[in-house]
Amino acid sequence: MNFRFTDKKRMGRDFAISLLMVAFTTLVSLFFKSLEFQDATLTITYLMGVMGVAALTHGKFFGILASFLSVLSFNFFFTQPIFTFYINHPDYFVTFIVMFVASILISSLTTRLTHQTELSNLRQERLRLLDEINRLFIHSVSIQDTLGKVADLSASYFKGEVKIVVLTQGGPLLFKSVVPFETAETDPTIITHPLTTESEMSGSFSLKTHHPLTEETAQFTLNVANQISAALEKEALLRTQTQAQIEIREQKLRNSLLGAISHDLRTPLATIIGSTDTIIENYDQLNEPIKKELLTNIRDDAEWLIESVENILSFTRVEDGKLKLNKQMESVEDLFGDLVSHVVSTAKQKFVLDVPDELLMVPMDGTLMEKVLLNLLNNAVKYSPQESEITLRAYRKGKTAVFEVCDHGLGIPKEQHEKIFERFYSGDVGYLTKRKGLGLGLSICKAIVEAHNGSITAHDNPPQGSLFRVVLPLEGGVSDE
Amino acid sequence: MNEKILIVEDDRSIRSFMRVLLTAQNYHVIEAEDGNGGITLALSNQPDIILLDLGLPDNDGLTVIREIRPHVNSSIIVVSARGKENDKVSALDEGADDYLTKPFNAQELLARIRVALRHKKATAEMNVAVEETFVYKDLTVDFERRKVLVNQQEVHLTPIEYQVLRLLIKHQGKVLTYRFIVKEVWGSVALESDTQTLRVTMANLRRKIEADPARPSYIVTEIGIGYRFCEDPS
Repeated sequence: MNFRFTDKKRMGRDFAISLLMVAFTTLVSLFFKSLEFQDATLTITYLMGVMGVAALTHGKFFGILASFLSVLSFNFFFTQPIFTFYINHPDYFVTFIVMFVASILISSLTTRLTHQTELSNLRQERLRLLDEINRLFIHSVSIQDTLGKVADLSASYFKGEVKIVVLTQGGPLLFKSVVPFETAETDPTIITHPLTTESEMSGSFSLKTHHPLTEETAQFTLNVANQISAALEKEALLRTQTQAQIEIREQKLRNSLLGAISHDLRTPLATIIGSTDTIIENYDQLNEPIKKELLTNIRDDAEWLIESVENILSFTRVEDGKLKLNKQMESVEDLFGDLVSHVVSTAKQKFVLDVPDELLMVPMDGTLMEKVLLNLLNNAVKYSPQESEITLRAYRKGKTAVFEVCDHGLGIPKEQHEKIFERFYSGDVGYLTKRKGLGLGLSICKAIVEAHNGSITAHDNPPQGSLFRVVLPLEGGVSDE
Repeated sequence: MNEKILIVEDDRSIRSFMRVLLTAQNYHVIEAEDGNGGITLALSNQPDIILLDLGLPDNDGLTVIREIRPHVNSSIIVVSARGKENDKVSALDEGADDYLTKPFNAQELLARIRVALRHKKATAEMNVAVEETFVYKDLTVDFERRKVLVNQQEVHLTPIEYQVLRLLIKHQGKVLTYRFIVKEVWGSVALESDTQTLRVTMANLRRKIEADPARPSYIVTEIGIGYRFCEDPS
């Protein structure tokens, strides 16, 4: 509708309109004549007919044609002698000329007016499209979604196939939208414009259509492409900003982490240096039991150091997102068997294992999940009285596998249930930090479990103690490597 | 009689602590501080045990194993940092016999050395007389008649389960990687699906021979590495 077509169909139609209109005008004039109206009325009626033709047809040609036909039929039907193209009176000749010139003037004025209207409609449509594209980008949730919609919109506007290709860091994105062609009479025209931005994002906008395009419309596709470029630019800018914000947050986290770490490392190191100095300088004065006690302290603190370092390493690996999961189907028994052999030998509590009878295979990175459960078990061991019971349980619940570590130890106040997993985000010194031993454990556990798309939560274990629950999805599969 | 132990380790403090500890146990200790030195000493001294650090300055430990394995009969115990399970698996696949994770304590080190020595002696004897019946705790395996008894009750194993069990017993005390077991039993290069089949097989086998599959007393799992048939620590 926005193109000025020159196809044959339309020409035939315009031709028919011209003929019918002149015929109709002639009929009306014949009617007026029977009512004995003046010739002037009849010529004006013809002029109106010409105006109608000019308004309804395309181009100047049919207006001129209608003018010519009107003069001829006026001559034929209404001038003496009637039903011939002869004229008796030379006055009529002047009438014809005046009528013809007036017709042509009216028809060309009408044509121009129609054209103006069409043009302004076209401009409005175009503005609406640009505006619509702009709006889509402003309300954009995901760039993929938006570009897809933009492709649809332009395809239906240009009536053809629109392809938008955007090269991003994650690889090329292709959006294609096709409005089926009514008829493929001409060879398709393809117009391609580059989409350029200041950032690394770039691409192309291309239109393929079977409808002939005017120069202006082709030019307009460039405007559309520019509009998309501008939107991409804005998007890229926004992305960089968000990235920068994330980096700032990570930097803050790292700082608070460093603070916590240096505390965790300094304390045992101070003990180690102090104790060894004491032993070296007073070697002969110290009696055996004291020496042994100091050495035991050194050993305990060294062990604590190792644990901290391990935790810090895993934590930074998890945080950097460098932690690659090596998911395999692991059986719960394998996991528990290995776990228990690590903890039971040294712990002074009673362990209860609650494993389902059915074979429960869970997709997981075995080494990392072992680390999680080991962390939970070690906490349970540290905060539970001797001879108390620690339960390690696993069961299937719908499409998930649930692991629980329950103890009858000190328990955790309810308001801390969520905080304990994110201690280092707030840098807050919770009640647990006063007893050394928890380290960075739980935040690491959380990161690992979340990398598995699972969840980890703390609960009360009535009447006394705490319960840690890890839920892992049973689906999600095994990594390809 | 003093067994010869070669320590290949670049850290001076760890070497000296190992030397003191092992000498105190009457082992004959020789030391190398890098891979090439280790290879030379291993080939010229034919030690009973080689304690090999995987993170060496010149060669990586895997190269050392590859170089010396065909020429020495020593038990190779690999020492590696925690969290590098893949290195351990590769080392075991290359022919290492056992591994220790840094940091380890003295008792652990001594226990591994004792196991390795006993194992070495046992395999040497096994070459002379093949054991026909294997007894460990409540488990009895009669290799001649392909019979497995738990508490004197016969247990029916599928041929695959039996083969896995036999393989683990043959290498009692040694960690067998998933890949090794799959290759030995199924005769194929281990694929993802094969190791999964192995886990299921192992779970079924445990249900048949273990009193409590989650607290195994015969076959223990080393998550991420493989399986090991238990051995009495002594």
